[in-house]
Amino acid sequence: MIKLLDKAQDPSHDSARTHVRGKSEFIDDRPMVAGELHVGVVFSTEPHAKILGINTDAALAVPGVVGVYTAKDVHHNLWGTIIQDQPLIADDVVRFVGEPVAVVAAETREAMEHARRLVRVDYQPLEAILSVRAAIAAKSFIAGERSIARGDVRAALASAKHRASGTVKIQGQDHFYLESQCSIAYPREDGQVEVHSSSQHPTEVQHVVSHGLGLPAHAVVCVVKRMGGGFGGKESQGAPFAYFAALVATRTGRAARCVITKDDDMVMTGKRNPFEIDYTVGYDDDGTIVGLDARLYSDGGAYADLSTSIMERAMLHSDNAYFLANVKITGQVCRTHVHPHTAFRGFGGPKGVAMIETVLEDIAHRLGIDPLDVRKRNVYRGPDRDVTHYGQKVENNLLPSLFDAIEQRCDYRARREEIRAFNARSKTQLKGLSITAVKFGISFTTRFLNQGNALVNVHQDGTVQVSTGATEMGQGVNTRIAMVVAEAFGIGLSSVRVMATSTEKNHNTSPTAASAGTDLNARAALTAAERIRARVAKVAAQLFELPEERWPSRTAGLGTMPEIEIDQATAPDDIVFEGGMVFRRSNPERWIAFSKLCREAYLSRVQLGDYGYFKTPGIYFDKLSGQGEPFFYFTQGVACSEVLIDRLTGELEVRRVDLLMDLGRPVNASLDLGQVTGAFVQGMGWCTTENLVYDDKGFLLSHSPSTYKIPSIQDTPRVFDVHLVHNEGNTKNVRSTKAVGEPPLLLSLSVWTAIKDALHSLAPSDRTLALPLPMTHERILLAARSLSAARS
Amino acid sequence: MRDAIVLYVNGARREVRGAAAFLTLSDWLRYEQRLTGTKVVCAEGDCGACTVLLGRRSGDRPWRFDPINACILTMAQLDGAHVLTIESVESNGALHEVQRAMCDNHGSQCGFCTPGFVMAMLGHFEHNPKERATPKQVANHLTGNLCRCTGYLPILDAAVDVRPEALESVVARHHSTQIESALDAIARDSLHIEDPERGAVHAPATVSELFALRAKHPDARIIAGNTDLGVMVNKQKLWPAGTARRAISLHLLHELDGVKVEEAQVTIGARATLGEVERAVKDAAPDFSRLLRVFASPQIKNAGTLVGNVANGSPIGDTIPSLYALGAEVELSSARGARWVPIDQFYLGYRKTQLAEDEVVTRVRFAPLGDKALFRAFKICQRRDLDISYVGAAFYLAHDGEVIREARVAYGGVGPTVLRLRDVERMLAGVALRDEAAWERVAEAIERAVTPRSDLRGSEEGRRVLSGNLLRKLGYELRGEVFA
Ligand SMILES: Cc1cc2nc3c(=O)[nH]c(=O)nc-3n(C[C@H](O)[C@H](O)[C@H](O)COP(=O)(O)OP(=O)(O)OC[C@H]3O[C@@H](n4cnc5c(N)ncnc54)[C@H](O)[C@@H]3O)c2cc1C
Ligand code: FES
Ligand code: FES
Repeated sequence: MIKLLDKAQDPSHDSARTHVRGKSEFIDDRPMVAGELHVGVVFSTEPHAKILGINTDAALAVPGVVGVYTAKDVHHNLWGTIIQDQPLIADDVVRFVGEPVAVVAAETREAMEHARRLVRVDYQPLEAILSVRAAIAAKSFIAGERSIARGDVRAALASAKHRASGTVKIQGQDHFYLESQCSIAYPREDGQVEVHSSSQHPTEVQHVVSHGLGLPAHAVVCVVKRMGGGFGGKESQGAPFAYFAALVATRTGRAARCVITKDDDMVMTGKRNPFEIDYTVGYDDDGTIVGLDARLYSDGGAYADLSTSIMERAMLHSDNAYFLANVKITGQVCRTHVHPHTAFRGFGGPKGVAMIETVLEDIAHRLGIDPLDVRKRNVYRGPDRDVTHYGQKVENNLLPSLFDAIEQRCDYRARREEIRAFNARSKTQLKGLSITAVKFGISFTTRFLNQGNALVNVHQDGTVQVSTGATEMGQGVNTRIAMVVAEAFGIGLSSVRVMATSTEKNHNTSPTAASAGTDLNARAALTAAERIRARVAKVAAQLFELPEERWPSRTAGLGTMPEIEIDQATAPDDIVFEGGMVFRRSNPERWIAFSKLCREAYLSRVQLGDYGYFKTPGIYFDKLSGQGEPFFYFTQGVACSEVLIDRLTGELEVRRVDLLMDLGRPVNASLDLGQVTGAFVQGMGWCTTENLVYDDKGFLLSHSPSTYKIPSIQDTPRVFDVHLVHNEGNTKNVRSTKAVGEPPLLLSLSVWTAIKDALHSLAPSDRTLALPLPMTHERILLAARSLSAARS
Repeated sequence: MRDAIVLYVNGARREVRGAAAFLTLSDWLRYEQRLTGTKVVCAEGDCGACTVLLGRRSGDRPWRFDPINACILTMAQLDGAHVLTIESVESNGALHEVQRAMCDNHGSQCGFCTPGFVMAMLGHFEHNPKERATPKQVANHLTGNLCRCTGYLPILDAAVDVRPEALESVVARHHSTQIESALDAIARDSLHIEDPERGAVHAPATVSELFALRAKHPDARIIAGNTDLGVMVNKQKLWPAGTARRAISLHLLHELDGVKVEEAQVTIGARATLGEVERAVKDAAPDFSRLLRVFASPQIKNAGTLVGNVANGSPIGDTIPSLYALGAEVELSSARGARWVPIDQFYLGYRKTQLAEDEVVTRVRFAPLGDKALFRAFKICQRRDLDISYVGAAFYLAHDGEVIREARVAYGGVGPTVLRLRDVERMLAGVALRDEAAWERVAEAIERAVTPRSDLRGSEEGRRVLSGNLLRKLGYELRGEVFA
């Protein structure tokens, strides 16, 4: 049975107090230093063309302009996280509208903007591929086709009692982080450069900058204090902008600031990959899936970026919460002439899950069975139906009980009846109800990324600074790390500060992504803290044996006592760190303040800083065979959404959402709940209002919030009941917690399937609805109209 | 005549002259004053990250502080105003109650939207300090603020957690009657700033001065709330007022303030903001007021004017179909005199109006509805709030309780200008209010009559279907067949 966690009053985000006062420093809030330059990017207006020439004379003549740089100025002009196929500045060919072709540096923003418009580029247009289907026809692909399979799909489909096929069309999504891409670079002595970047991946920034400039890695430091939102959009794509600033800084010897406007950011940077998925499913009378053959195509855009990994995760999540006995999932990334698409919260997961959830909805509609019952029939359940199509057992499986719990909590059956009656009566409105689940695999599927390191410095007053490779983008990773470290030392949270991320303190860091920021970095920090704790515990044990007047603080200056020596000492196992005090469990009366102990330890020449390292154990995945145990564990959840549709206007209202999430033993449940509601509403946008509209050149027309509509406060479900469930079984992870960043986003698909449920009430049972994603108001309107017309 | 803008920022007097007068308020705050708590995301009024409180006098009424978008206001408009930014909210490092509630309820994650939310929330509590807020009230006040991180729930929780007994007025802390009299005195003197690079901006202090300037500079652009112009300037990087080199700002002209509601007439001055109109016509034209409720955002409505919406003449200007249906008239004035023009004769084509070179729009008026008339306005968007319509419509139906006697029907977003559908009006005359079949015939006629085009906000087909459906929807409403 599922038990809910009580809502706790947890510490606020470590930046909350500066955020609410407008005192948190973001990149463009940094004061201008003397001589600082503004850097702008001239980008391609053609989707695919040969560059015949670039004329910079007029731009250079603008007063205040100090330089215009092109591909000629780049040292090593190819980058890419997985496959190096993307120029930093387009060389002889441009491959998408928005691709950088020149970089302008000027003394004022106005001069920079003016000059940017005066750089003249002559193009000879080449044929452009602007859709997934066109790419398939032209065999324009990125990397090869991959597949994951189990059983005999062909036979299973052939002998299935029922079969259905269809296509799911999924559009992209803009990250719409509020702080657009930005970086500042400061030239430092002896050819070094210090880059401050709004990036989820400082190590990649360091690498891209050093390659692009022809510098060794140790000449480049990347610092990330915080981001005004990331969501995956700054995992790889922050790097070129950092490079542009660094290029100008090293060329001119002046600080250089590259801050992109929202409009240009949206045109230039890639989105969540669009997908088109063709499937055939076979199922029994009771809705059990007996075979699924799905071909996933994604639009990778012009360059590889992270698209192959994203596809892999889509394939690994095409099962979602459901057991597929015979299955073949194939995936192919297409190369087109739009901005290179990239990571976005959930990575490929939401696309695979959208497919299977809509397939289940169709099966239910055709069989006339409640969709919840079809889901329950297919859910992973031991002992025979709990191994995924890639061969990993679903351990600590809460899914069946989560379905039962949500059904009870949200009064599903009664509301189902009410809605049926409502839809039969109402001429103007329709309601829909749907429950979907998520089972999200935690770990990078690329094994080497699953490592982290941390530096912990304890000062003589007992305050602690922690540095890790994790970057803070609002998710609260720093707060969680600080809590874990504070707990290890038994001190108050205010005594621990997590410092800006910097590649000079932490080396070879992984991106803060895959929801794994806390898992990797808090564990590494904990390792370092535990080492320090073990050493100061030994100091404490010896202090307790000495009268206070012989403690180092009284004697070390004069050197009248032998030094406390810990190297040979055995670790005491009964020293307790609690409430800022350190004592023996057997004698709590004799205690020493942690701060005081640190001073005594320092005077005893005991090392008060340390370095921790962590790599996730036991994970592997053979990308070629599609088999392995890629995930450390799964985060799971369920949600039930109710929508109200105006049949005459297509307007949609998400009336009520009930949501249950298994996050193990949360470090900070309040921050986790914020991740859940934030991810859900962000996903709702992808499912409903966020419509990327391109023109016939692949130029993004909806490139600002006036036309690209993310959810507003009015779209938040009126009733939004979110709970975490009790689960202490994830003992292998740090503090038995579970990652939260991405998984709840996938539950927003319940809104999309609820829209489908509503429209199904207008559709005869032999008609399945191929609804695209997102379902905008207009699409709902037209679907309702054509179904009503077909009926009358 | 002054050559410097005078304003107060967080209680301190500032003068702005020369090139800086052409900056947006947000750039001036961030880059000239180093008040970087005010963020810029979209520079088009759509996200609220730049929200500050703007205090000023409207007509002879007391000073009022309301949230506005700093990114689309130009400095000239701030002449005579008092601006409060996020930096003014804490006092000596102690958090204000709104800030405390945001911290305790985890209302900020990445923090980039947070100063804007705090300011918008503060705007609500400065006017409503005595009661706890309800989630619905809060949502209505925060429609103009986007957050990509929180899903808004924690922000709603925060606002509801604000305790009236712990609230301190930030306005009272920084503002005073001395500041008011200092600025009122300034505002009696007109303003003229010339900059060789950027052009010129004038702010006349009397209407006759306005007419003289207008006649002298027919190419100058009138600035009212600047919510249309500011976006154009920011996006095209053109100073000071879009394609024009010279701007005339109306901000000192209290003669053009206000909404007058009388028994026979509602008269709206050229400086009356959409927010003022929304509040003033609640009883005289409730459905029009309701339309304004979903118009843009509080911040936009605190700056943008109704006359600006009319003068801008966009085919999707949301007030225009309603003004057609209400039979409104527009007053065009110049040194030569004033004339009233029925609104459906005011527009000549796509963004072309009857306005002569030397004229400005000074007022709009319409008669309040009688009790045997029905008025209903629609604004349909891809997102329900803070979105530009893809179809708007307004219906005026005079009836005797059973049968429609006279109809006025206007649609926006389905042609180059707002369309008045006179054939449809004729069809409606004589139709029984409850005759479903007749209404269906009219709806089909509407679908044939409109001439929509596809653009990024909607397709031709969607707009056509919607056009008919809005009449159908009205029919269902009248017959009492809508329930939820
Ligand atoms: C985020 C955002 C949301 C918006 N939402 C909506 C919406 O939902 N519906 C909608 O219809 N509009 C919307 N708008 C557009 C705009 O807010 C309105 O059109 C507003 O009414 C314009 O008024 P203003 O005073 O700001 O005009 P300004 O920008 O000052 O002026 C607009 C035009 O009218 C001219 N003008 C202004 N006053 C006069 C005058 N007295 N005589 C002659 N010419 C004059 C100006 O020269 C200019 O060409 C939105 C704008 C933004 C930025
Ligand atoms: S910056 Fe978005 S509204 Fe001003
Ligand atoms: S907290 Fe990040 S956008 Fe609101």
